[in-house]
Amino acid sequence: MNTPADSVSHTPAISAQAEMVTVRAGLPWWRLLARDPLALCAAVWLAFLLVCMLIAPMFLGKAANDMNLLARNLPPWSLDKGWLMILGSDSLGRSILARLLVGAQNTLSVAFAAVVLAMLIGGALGLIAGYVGRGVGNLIMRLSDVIQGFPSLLLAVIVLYMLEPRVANLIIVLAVTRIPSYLRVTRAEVLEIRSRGFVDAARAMGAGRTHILWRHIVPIVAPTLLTILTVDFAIVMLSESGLSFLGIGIQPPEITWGLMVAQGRKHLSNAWWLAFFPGLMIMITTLAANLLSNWVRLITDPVQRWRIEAPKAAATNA
Amino acid sequence: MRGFKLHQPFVTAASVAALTTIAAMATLAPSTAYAQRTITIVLPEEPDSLDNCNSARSAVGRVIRQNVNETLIELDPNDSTLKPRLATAWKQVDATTWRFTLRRGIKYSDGTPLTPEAIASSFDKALSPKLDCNARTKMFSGFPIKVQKVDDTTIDIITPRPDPILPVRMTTLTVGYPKEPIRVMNNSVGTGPYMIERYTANSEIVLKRNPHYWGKPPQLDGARYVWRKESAVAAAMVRVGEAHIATNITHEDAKDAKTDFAYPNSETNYLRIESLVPPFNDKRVRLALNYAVNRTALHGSIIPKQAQIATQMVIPRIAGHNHALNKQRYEYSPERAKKLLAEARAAGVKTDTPIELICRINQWENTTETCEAIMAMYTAVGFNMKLKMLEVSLWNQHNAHPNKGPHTPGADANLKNRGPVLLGHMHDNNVGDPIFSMFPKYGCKAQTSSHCIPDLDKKIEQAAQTPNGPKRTKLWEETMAVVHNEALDVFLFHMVGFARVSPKINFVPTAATNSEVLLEQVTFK
Amino acid sequence: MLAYLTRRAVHSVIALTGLVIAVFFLARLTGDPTNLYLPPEASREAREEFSRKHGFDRPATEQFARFVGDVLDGNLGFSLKKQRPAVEVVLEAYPTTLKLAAVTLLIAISLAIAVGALAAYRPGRVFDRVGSTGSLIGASAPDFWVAITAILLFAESLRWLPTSGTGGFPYWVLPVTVLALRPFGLLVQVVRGAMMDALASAYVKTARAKGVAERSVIFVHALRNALLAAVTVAGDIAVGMINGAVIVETVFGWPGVGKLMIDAVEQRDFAVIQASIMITAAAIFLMNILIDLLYVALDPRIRHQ
Repeated sequence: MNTPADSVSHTPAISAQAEMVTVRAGLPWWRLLARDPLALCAAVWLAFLLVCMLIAPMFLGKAANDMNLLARNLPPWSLDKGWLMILGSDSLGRSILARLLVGAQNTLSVAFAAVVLAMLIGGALGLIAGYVGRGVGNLIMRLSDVIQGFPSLLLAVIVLYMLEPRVANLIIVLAVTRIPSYLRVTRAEVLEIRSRGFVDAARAMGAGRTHILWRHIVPIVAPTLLTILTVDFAIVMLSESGLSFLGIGIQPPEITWGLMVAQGRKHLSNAWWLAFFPGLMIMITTLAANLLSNWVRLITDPVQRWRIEAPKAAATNA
Repeated sequence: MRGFKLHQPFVTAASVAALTTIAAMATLAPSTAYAQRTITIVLPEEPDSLDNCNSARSAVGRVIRQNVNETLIELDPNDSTLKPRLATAWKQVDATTWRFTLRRGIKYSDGTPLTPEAIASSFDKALSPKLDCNARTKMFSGFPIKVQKVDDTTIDIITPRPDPILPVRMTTLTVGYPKEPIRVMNNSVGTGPYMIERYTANSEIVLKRNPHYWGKPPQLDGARYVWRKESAVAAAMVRVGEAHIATNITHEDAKDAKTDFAYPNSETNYLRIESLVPPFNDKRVRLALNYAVNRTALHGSIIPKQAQIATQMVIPRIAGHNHALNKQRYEYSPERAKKLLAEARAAGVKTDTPIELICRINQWENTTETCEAIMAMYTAVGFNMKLKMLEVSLWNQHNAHPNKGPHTPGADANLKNRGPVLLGHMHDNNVGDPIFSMFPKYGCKAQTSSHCIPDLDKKIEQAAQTPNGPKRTKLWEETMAVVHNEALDVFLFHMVGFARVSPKINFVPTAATNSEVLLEQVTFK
Repeated sequence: MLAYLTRRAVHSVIALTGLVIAVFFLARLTGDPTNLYLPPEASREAREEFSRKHGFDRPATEQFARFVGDVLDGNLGFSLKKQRPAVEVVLEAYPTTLKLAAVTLLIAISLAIAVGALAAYRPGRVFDRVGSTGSLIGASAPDFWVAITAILLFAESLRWLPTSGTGGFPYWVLPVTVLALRPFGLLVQVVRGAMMDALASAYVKTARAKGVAERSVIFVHALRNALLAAVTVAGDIAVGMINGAVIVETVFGWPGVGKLMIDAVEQRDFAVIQASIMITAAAIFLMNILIDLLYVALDPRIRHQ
C-alpha cells in the first residue's frame, strides 16, 4: 500500500464495476442532476432565464423602454426610485434590471436559434457526407473548409454589412459560422459507425438507407451533437457581444446583453454598473451552459458516468 | 510522503510551463526610449496616408497640417479670419484671377527653396483627377485652378469661374514637395516647423524639427503620434503619463476639470427632413417635428453641456450665422406639436404615414442614445416612427440619394419606392463660409439636398456671388432665416469635442483641434 | 504518407479557391465604396468618375475575371484606403499578430496542461473544482469588457502596467492574458477529460500493474494522451484566436492583422480584405496539415493506419 501505484489503482477498478452496475440500473437524468450541485445550479439558472424569456417582455417591456433623462446612471442597490432601479439605471434613465430580464429574450433566442440551426444543417450535411458517396461527401467537406478558413467574426461582419443588422440575419450569420464543427463530428461518427457490424447486419437484413440512418446512426450521433450544442451556445453568446462591441450587432431599440455591455463600456470609468451587470449575465449564463455541457458529456460517457452515479464510492476510494 | 511523491510530476510540469512562459516573454522586443522635449499625442484613428494631398482629411491633417505642410493662408479657428502663412498678401486682380505674394526665403526641410514652380507642381498633383485626394474631392471637385508665375515671389491663381471666396478655399490646400510622382505617399515633405522622421505603419509616426524652418523655432523638439480607438484607453494614457494629448475623448471620460478641455469642433447635428415628399411637404408637420424634440433635456445629459442648441446649419463663429434666430428657437412643446399634427390631419395630410428615423452608428458621441431618446419623443406626440441604426455605407445611400418625390434622380429602385425618411445627420463646416453648407444642403440642384424652394435657391446663388463683406454676411443670414422659418430641418446641437491635456504642457484645444494640432503652440511648463 | 500530404494539399488549394471566390463576391455585396471615399457633397459626376476609375461600374463577374488575372500575375490589388499594394499592407501587420498568437497559444497550452492534468488526477477535489470552474469563468466573460476593465484597473488605478501599445514585457501582459482566457478555459476542459480517460484506460492500468513508476506513468502514458487532445483542438483554437485578436488589437492599439481586417471591411477596402483573408486562410490550412503531422508523430496508432 505504500507504493504510489497501489494507492490509485482502486479508482479504475471501482469504476469498471460501478459502470457495470449503475448503467444497467439507469438512474433517471434528474436524479443524476441532483447529485451534481454545480450542474444543478446551472440548470436552475437556465430554467429561470427561460421563464424570463417567456414572461418578462409582457410585464417589463414598458419599464425596459421608459426613459427618464433626469434619472440617468442611477447607482445600484438603492430602492428610493422603486425596486426596478435596484441595479441602477442606464444612460437614458431606463431600469437596468428590466432591460436585463427583457433582453434575455433576444440574447438567448439568438444564441439558441443559431446553434440549433447550425446543428440541424451541420448534422444533416455531415450525415450526407458520411453516408452518401465520396463525390458529394468531398464537396461538402470542401465547403466546410471554406467556412473554417474564414475567421468567423470577419464573416459575420461582412454579412452584417451586406444585410441589415436584424435579429434574423444575426441568427443566420452566427449559425453559418458554427456549422463546420457539427458537420465534421457527424461525418466522423457516421464513418466510424458504418464500419461496425450492426449496420452491416441491418443492411444484410434488407433495411433501407433511411431506415439505417434514422434507427441506427442518428441515435448514436445525437448525444455528441447535443454536447457541442451547449458549448457552442456559450461561444455564440460571446460572439454576439463581440459584434455589438464592433458596433454591428443588433441595434436599438432591440435589447441584448451584448449591446448593453457595448453601450455601457463608455461609462466604465464613471458608472461601472451599466456594463457590469449585463457582462455578469453573459458570464453566468455562458458558465452555466459550459457546466451543463460538461455534465451532459459525463452522463453520456459510459466510462465516466460512475463519477456522478456513485459519488460516495468514488470519494472514499480516490 | 505519499502526497509529495504524487504531486512531483505536476510540480515539474508546472515548472516547465512557467519556464516556457518566461522564455516566450523574454524574446519580445525591448521598449524604445524617446528624447526630451517631445510629446506623445493619441489620435482616435490612424491616418490613411501621410501625403500632403490628403491633409484636408482630419485624420491626416491632425499630423501634418501646418506642422509639416503649410497653407498659403491660415484660417483663425477662433473668429474665422484669414491670416498670412506662406503668402503675405493677396488680392483679386480680375473676376477669375487672384494674386498672391509669397513670403521670401522659404525652404523645404531638405533645403530646396520654395518657388512658384514648386507650388504649381504640388497643387497639380494634389488636384490631379488621377488621384482621389481629399484636397480635390473636398473643395476643388469640378473647379480646376491654375497657378501662374508672375515673378519669383508672386503667383496668380486662375479659377474656372468667378470665385469671390477663393482665399477661404485656399486655406484648405497645403503646399507639398515639387515634382512628386502622381501617387499617394507616406513621406510628405514640406516647409513647416517639423518633418516626418519615421512612419511605422499601424504603429506610430514620429516628427522632428525642420532645420530650415522660416519662422521662429518652436519649443518642442518633436512629437510622436499613436492611435487608440477606445476613448477610455486614450484618456488613461494621458492620465498615467504615457501621452500628453488625447485629441478626441468622449465627454463621459472627460470628467477632470484640470486636464480635460471642451472645444467647439464646427460640427452641427440635425435631422434632415425630406421636404418634397408627403407628409413632410406640409409645413405644420415640419413644425411639429421641431416642437416635439426636447433639446434642453438632451443638453447636459446625453449631449455635453458645453454644446450649444442649434437653430441653423452653420456655427456661430462663421460670418453669416444668424444670431437673431437663437432667440426664436422652437422650444419644446408637445402640446403644440400635437395641435399642429391635428390641424394637418384635419386638412387631409396623412400624418400617420410610417416614417423611418435613420441614424448612423457612432456618427457623434451617443448617437444611438440621442436617436433612441428623440424617437421616444416623436412617438409621444403621435408620429408613426421607427428607428433604424445603420452602418456608414447603408446610411450613405440615404444621404447621397434623398427622396425628392417621384423624380428622385440616380437612386436605386428600392430607394425610390421608400417612404419618408428623417435622417440623423452631422454637418461639419470647418472652412468658414456658409456656401459649403447652404448650397449642398438646400440648393435645388445639389445632389444631397432634400429640399427645393426656388426663392431660397436664388438667394443662395446671389450670396455665393457676392464678395466677402457685410453684404455677403447679410445675405447668408437671410438664407438661415428662411430655412428656420420654413422649418426645413430639425436642428439639434452645435457640438463640442473633448481633449485631455497633460498638466506638464501648455496647450489649449481650439475649434481647429479636430483637423489640425499645431505643435508650434505646445510648450512644456 | 506522401500521398496523404498531397491529398491534403490539393484539398487546401480547392478550399482556398472557394474562399477567394466567396470573399470576392461577399465583399462587393457590402456596398459601394464611392460614398466612403468621396465627401458627402461630391457631385454625381465625381462619383461616376471614381467608380469608373476603380472599375466598380463594371459587372461583378468582369471585375472578378480581372482580379483572377491579377492574382495569377502575383498582384493582389491596391489598397483604396492606404493607396499602396494590399500585400504590403497585410504583410506589415502579420508579424504582430503571429507573435501575439504564438506567445498566447504557448502559454495557454502549457498552463492548461498543467492545470487540466492536476485537476484530472484527483477529480472532484478542491483543486479540480477551483481549477476547472475558474478557467471556465475566465473563458465566459466578454473579452472586450475584460480588456477595458483590466486597463482601467491595472494601468489607470494601480499603475502596474502600461495601458496599451507595443513594447517590452510589461506591454504584453494584459493583451496576452485577455487573449489567453478563452483558449485556456477550453483547453483545461479538454486536457482534463483526456487525462481522466487515460488514467482509467487499460494501458495505464497495465503499466501500473507492471510496477512502472508513477511519474513515468503520468508523463509517458497519460500526459501524452492529454497532449494529443490539446493538439486536436489547437487548430480550432488558433482559428478562434483571430477573432480574439480583432478585439484585443482594437482595444490595446496593436498593429495586427485582426484589426486590419475589420477596418478593411469597414472601409470597403476590397483588395486588403481579399489579401488578408487569402493569406490567413493559407496559413490556417498549412497549420492544419502541420497539426495532422504532429498528431501522427505523437500517436503511433495513427501511423500504422
